[in-house]
Amino acid sequence: MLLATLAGGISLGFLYGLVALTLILLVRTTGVLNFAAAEVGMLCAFVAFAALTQFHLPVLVAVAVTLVFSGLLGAAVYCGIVLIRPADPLTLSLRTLGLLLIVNSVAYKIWGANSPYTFPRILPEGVVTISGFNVGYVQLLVIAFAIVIALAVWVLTERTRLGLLLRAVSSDREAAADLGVPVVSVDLMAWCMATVVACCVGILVAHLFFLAPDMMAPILLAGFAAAQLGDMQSARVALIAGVVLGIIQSASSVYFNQPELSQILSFLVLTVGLIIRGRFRGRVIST
Amino acid sequence: MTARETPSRFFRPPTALPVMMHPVLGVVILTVCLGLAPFALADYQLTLVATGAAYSVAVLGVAAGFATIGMLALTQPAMMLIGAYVALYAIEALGLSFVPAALLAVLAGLLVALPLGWITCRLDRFSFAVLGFAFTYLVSMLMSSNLLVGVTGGELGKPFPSANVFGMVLHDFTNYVALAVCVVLAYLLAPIIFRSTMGRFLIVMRQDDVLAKSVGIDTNLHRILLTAIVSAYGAFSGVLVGLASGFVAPPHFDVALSISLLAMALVGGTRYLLGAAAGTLILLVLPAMFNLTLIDRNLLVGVVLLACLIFVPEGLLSFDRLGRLVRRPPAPERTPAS
Repeated sequence: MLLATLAGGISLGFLYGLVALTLILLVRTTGVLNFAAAEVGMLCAFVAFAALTQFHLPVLVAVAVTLVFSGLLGAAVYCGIVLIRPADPLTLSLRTLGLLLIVNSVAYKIWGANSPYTFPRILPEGVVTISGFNVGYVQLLVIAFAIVIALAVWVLTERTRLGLLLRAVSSDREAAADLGVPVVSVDLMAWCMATVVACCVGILVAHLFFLAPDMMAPILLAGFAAAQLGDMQSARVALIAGVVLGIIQSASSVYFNQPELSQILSFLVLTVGLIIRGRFRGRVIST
Repeated sequence: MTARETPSRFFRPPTALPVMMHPVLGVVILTVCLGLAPFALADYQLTLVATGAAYSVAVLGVAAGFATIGMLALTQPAMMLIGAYVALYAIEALGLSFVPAALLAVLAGLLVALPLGWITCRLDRFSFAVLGFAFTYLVSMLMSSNLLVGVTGGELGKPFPSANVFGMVLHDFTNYVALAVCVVLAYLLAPIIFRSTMGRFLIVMRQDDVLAKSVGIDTNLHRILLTAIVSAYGAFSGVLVGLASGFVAPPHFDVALSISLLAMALVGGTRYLLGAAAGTLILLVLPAMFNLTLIDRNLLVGVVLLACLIFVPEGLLSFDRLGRLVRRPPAPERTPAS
């Protein structure tokens, strides 16, 4: 029972961690907190769904088409929200709130009537029996995919030239521009990368649970929490925080058998975590 | 020392006073509009205007928080729920009349806000926004759930009882008059609060927190006070929404509403007293009058919010600044070469 709960919690937690990763990627590079990150992922999941069920594309082609679409969407969002009239990070973050409402409403208008949908099974079905309890392959594969995506982002940001440019812009934007770093192109790449990761999260969430315009609301909230616990800077801490939150939610919903109590517990963990993090940060700064 | 630099109790520093530009004019316009509405509108439209006016009080709180220290007060729907239920039980169970029930609700909002304000002092702006989101989600979910169905009525909510003021039971027209008076009072109070010494301290805090601390401003105390005031506006708005619509249903006060309230504040313009009213009119009242569905309304809110933040970041009431969109800024003066 414990292992099954753990597997469920960890797979859920990795999804939280990935949402946090998309948020941190943008905050570190551009200073923008993208409130619409999860909704963009939901939109991409619907595109994958349409590619699979309406156009009957093979799974790999459908996923590739969706990933390309998500990259282009990221570029379009960057041009339409940021580049059109640059502003301070707070204003840009608030613009993404408008985008959140637009994407959500458009999804409701197009797909809302018959939602929720069952996402086509693109991952193998079946279960593994651990200590007499069944753990789905899907959950294990979600964990594996999440780790691969996180590693890919880490390699891209830490071991490539693009990553070096991203870190240069994140460290000092004006100095980087003075030294010839193409800041706009780097920003554009950051938006594209974040949207591609959000797309992967959207597809995984749709596969793990169901596909609906409102499927990402709880994931986004927990992703925000994980990102905040990582101080909007540390992807590693955010991933760990996401996993911890996932395990707590999963375990409490099983043991309390009351979803409300589980949510209260998550809220308390978030509050305490934020306060402790704030105090810890204060101490580090003061020393 | 020039006359301009002479310290005087009448001297007002030339810093931007965020909330409440032209406060007297704003209150006069609001009073006239609310006063004329019963004579110009049908009953259904009047109910919509009354509900919108009630919501605009919560928007005013959000606008005040944003304009002073850039607070993203996303806890407002939760405060509205708390205020509405406290007033509901104060009238129903304790038999209080409307005024003490509303005051009790405001007090409840203030009390709930104190720990939130304490947390605000320890968090940055975005962390507090996330916490606000989570708090609203939690309160709305708990009050809609079966866990508290006996108290809140669950998803269906509870009817708001008929209130009485000074022994007179409020009905259609008197209900509207009482609500309009409350709304005008809330708007009247805002400039008084934010033009006070506290309001000026908050402006200094927004400009430079370290500077504010170094000149002796207790920034933590002022953050807590601001959170309490914003929440009190939310709780009061909840009471007024209950009075206007006749019922309180927790699912209406969810996370989406917190985004909508922020959008209304930003669209109207947080630096203007009537910004809250204008935002509410455009994003809540008019769509309801045109019978837009919830999805269409959310789409409208998203599009208008995005367009405003791109083209008129200071809100639709910043008429004096709209010219910047079409006018090119004057070229900087050339200094003669030495």
